[in-house]
Amino acid sequence: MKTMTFLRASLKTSLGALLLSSLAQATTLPANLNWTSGPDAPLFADKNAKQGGVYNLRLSTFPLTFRTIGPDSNGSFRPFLLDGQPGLLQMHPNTREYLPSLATEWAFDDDQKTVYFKLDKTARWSDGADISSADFEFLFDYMRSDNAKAPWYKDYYTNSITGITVYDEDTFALHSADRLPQDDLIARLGVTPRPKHFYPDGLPENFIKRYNWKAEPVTGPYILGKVKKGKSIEFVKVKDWWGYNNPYYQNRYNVDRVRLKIIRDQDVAMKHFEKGSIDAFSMILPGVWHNQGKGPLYDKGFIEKSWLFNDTPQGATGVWLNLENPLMQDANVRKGIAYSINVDKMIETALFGDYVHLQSFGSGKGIYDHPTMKAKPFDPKLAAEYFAKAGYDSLGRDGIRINAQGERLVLVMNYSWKAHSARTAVLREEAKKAGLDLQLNLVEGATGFKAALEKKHQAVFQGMGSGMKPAYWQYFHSANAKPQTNNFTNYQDPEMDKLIDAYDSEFNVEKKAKFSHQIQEKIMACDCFIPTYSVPYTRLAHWRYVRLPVSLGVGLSTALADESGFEYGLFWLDEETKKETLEAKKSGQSFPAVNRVEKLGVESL
Amino acid sequence: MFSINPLTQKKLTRFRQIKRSYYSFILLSLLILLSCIAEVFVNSKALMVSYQGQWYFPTYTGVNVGEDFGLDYAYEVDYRVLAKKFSEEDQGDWVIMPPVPWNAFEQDFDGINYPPNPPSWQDSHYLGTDVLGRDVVARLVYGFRIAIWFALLTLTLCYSIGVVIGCVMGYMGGKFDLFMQRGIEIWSMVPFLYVIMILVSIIQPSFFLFVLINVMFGWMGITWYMRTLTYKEKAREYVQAARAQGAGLWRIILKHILPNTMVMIVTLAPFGVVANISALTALDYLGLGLMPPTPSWGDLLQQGKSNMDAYWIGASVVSAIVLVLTMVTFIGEGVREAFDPKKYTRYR
Repeated sequence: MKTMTFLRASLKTSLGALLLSSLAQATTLPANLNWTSGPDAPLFADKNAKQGGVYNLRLSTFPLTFRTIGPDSNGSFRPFLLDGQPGLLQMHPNTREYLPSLATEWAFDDDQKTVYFKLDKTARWSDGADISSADFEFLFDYMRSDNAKAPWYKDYYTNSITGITVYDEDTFALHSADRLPQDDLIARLGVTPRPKHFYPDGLPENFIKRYNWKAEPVTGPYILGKVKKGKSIEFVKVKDWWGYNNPYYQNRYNVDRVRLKIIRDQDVAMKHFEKGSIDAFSMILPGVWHNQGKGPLYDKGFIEKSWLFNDTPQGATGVWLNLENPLMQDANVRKGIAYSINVDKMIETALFGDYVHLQSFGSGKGIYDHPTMKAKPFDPKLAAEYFAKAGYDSLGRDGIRINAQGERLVLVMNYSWKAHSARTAVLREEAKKAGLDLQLNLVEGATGFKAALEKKHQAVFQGMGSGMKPAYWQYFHSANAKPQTNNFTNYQDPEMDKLIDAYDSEFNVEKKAKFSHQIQEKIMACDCFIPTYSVPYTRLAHWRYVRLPVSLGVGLSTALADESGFEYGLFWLDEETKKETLEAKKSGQSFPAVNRVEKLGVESL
Repeated sequence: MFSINPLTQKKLTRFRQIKRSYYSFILLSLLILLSCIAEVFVNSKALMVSYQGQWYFPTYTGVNVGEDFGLDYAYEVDYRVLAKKFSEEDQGDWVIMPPVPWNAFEQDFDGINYPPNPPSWQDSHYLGTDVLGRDVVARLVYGFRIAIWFALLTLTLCYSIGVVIGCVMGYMGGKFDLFMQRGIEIWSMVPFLYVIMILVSIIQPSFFLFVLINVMFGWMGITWYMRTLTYKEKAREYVQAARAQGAGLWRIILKHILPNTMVMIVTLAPFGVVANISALTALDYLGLGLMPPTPSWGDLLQQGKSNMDAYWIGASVVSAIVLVLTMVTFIGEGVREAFDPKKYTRYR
């Protein structure tokens, strides 16, 4: 029996090899390709960075798996395993141009669907194996495998990225299903390979279980090291990492080890940080930054605070009204609601004035943003007028408007994070001024998002992420006005569909932007999405020996010292400063307090 | 006229003699009663407004909008501002505010100091504000009202169900008893906290739904005691006599056995109240309790833990919890002592 399977297997591989070799012969690289290796963009890492050191961070939960695909893999730990891994190309975090990474050269086909890549010959997996075209070919087997139980990826690597043509060990072409502008094409095809040699027989049937606690070799600078289940995870720097041959990777990823401690409770983690057993602490939330990030350690300069206004695109965060709901079908009610949501007060009180009032459906997307669009201000008088028009023309005993049938004006708003209670509580109190009873319904975490996808809500307070360009189809196309999609408003309008289709298929940037503006106008006219805020910054409290570049970060930094996943790795640890700091702490010396603020994306504020 | 059994009279006298229990009882009852009309003491609505010769009593009446008092807005008037305005204008109009002129929901934000703000007599925040700028006194008082009524209601329901079922089990015995025992054993094996967590993550319960969930898993404890007691009482002559006279099941249980087993209920009840208050506070602390922004002690406790610097939050809620739970425990002790049959037995 064993010999039989072995025979069959060897037959298969030899057949496969035969096929491959014949394919390779059949396909030759088109001549006249215009190869490029990107613009000569400025370097963005700090030359003064020092190598070495152990960097301690906190993780709030132990991951459920070390896989990067399949059930439970899309958690808050995946950024450490996947997000910092070099793919074919990297985007310059300031100019947003594409630069070489795994691929040193690339070329576009005239069909606007295909990109050719030549791999860096020095590129190695973290276990030393060569990164070759075969790994990219394997990527498709990997993503499409039913054993990975990842339907979204399977679909994406079948219907969006349709396939690969291999020319030789280091040269291949990737194909997109749709014609796209060059930037979008790269965004789609600039994939990260998977190690073929790690899965000698492809993804086995029991992949989910068998590989649950096995981390794959990676293209990036850190591999998983010692793991204490439930307690800590360590990442170790790859020896002689190939990436340093690429100038854009130099002076980055400077620390030797990254140690993640599992500390569930935020307050306890804070104490660890103050003790120095954690080196950096993300403080994006205003309450933490202003109320907890203070005290003698900060005043004496042991812990520094760094605040970077970055230039990241901002998704749509706001109150989404469900148009399926009978009350929400009345345009006057929606207008009234839009005027009774006091975003400014919420930002001023619950958010310490740190966030920025979002004026339309997302922001930070350059030319695609509507230049003059303004969100409706809080105006209880105007709101009352619209509510009166909708029939809610008198005040009840409790100050809430009622209509002729005696029905109270109630809007039930779901939200899914307890930390948002403070924000929604402000909205509720302020809405009373317009006679609107804004009832808050906390449906925690993933369940809350599921509930929104079910479209059972009347209103939902929620933020969505964003790509470099605005996305409208998923939110406002009638094709998505059904459960399990992101069209949280159940918006349906044939004209909007036409606009969105036109926007999606337009190549000319200016025309595309115009469509984008028209769509934005329609969204705001509908009042079914009431924009709340954007968070155009990232910030961090860190011990003074954690050094950041002069600019603190780069335009696309979402974290300053890779505190929530490997990102740009621009920081470094200064051992001398550490020694000095610890001694000073013992002897009671102090340093000047440091509170740095840098603004990169000011023009978009 | 309602007359008290001399034995009960004796017990009450005995209870009164245990000073700390007796005063705890008086004080707690007073607090509960006062909490029912907390709107009079802790409220953003004025007790009384005199405007152009006309009197308003806004506490329990419908809402008065700003336009009613010559202001330019059509939502509920801010009485604190109104009071200041009237006293500045000095035209004979006046406003009487409650001692704590804040309700449990409004956020006091002056644009300079970010909450939580320390206690301030000037702003009438006697215990400061919480992280959202809401008055801690108001949150405590209304939180107390909710917690204590939650505890009493849950207790009453649990005991009504538990006592009846326990008595019937004890009285009927046999198969009914056997099956109910096993049923209760199985039901009490359901991990109550987990069930609450799951339910709460799916639906955000209202006050009554929350009581209901707690009753569903809280009625079993008392059945065991009642069952044993009823078994004992059942064999007594007065039960036999009642039976001989043709009294039915319910009559015997409710009229004859129950008054004689009341001792158990009365002694256990105070500790039940403690347990229920703790349960609600714990669940609120974990964020699995009543829907925010309902005032709750658990929420304040959570805030206190996250903001150690804002000592006034943690300190006031911890003192409040300790105080109330101690008082209830004192009462429980006193009741147990007073109802202790050993006091009246001949076999000393």
